[in-house]
Amino acid sequence: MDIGLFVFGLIQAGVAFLLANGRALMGEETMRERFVRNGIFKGLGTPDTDAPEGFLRRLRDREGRASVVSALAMLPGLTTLGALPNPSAAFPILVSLAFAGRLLALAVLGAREASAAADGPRISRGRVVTLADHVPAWAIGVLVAVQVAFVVAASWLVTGPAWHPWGLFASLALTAACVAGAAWLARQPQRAADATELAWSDSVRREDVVALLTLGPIATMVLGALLLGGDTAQGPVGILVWVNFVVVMVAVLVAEAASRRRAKARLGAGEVSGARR
Amino acid sequence: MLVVDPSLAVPPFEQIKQQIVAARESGEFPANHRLPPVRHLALELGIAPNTVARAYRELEASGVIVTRGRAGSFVTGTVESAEKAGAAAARDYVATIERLGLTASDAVRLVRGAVGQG
Repeated sequence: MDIGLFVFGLIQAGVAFLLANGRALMGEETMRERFVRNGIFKGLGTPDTDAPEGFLRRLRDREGRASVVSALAMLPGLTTLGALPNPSAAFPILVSLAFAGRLLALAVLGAREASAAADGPRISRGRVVTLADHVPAWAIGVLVAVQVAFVVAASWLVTGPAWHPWGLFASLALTAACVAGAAWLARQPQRAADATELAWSDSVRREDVVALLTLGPIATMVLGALLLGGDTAQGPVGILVWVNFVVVMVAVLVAEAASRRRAKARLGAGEVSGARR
Repeated sequence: MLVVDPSLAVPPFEQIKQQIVAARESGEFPANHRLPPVRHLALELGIAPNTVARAYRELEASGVIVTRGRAGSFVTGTVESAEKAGAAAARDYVATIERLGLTASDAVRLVRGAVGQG
């Protein structure tokens, strides 16, 4: 690999890292704005209370550790630079790896946070939260159906010597693994001292669960861009990539919006009492 | 909602027991409400699994919960919760009768007939 390509790869990796780890890199005051009642960066469907200090400290620690894993996860992607006909095609791979590394680390660390020793009181809602509590089943169905439809359509429409549909079908296995991972994460015990902290914990858990669910379709999009980016014997097929991009983004937004509505309904119903005043 | 405060004089297993009994009586945990597995609840409350297991064991002995093998532990119904569920079903039935254009005496006659069949 020549030095120019290496520097180009590092720049791409740096941008990908910034994209994936924005929350870990933001300043303390900026982050606080995401987790206070009237914060200017406060997310939709989050509790109308200030997040407790201990919760924010744990979150920052988790994000910091996840960003290290995110950087490490990009290393295999950097090795593909020399193998790709167009070095800039590595960017979506690097972004996906950075997001995937961060997400997996967040999921594992989030699932383990309840096992830390408790000094003060701890709270439980007295039932196991499931994936359906965070994201409605129909939204997950839309997300998976869109991906299956794209993979099947692409495999049917595109032929030629350079065409490897197995790559797209492998992404379906990844999606299944992501759905299973999201279901596992949703069920993991949460750590909270009171109802307010539990509501914030719910909110962050929901974000992680939705992000895990969308990883599979986004991987399909990236694989599609790589596998269908050029021309085949049948002519240009890049249009499929754009169709997939638009459809996946719509499906991801539908899943996000549905999960936010569900979170809002749960807060409104006062399941976590004291979280909304 | 279950809260365990280790600083209280009441032992944690007793706190869990009292709160599950109270939640059952208030209807917060209705009949057949599935409680979390022992290890899950222990992690959430920051206590030893044996403490939760003891609370579950004693609640089962007193008939507040029932354990159905690997399916987990479930809250049993109280007379009050059964009456509440019955009253809700009766309201639904009356609404259906009114929608069908039948009278109150028709409704009672139909219930008597159904009870006779049962």
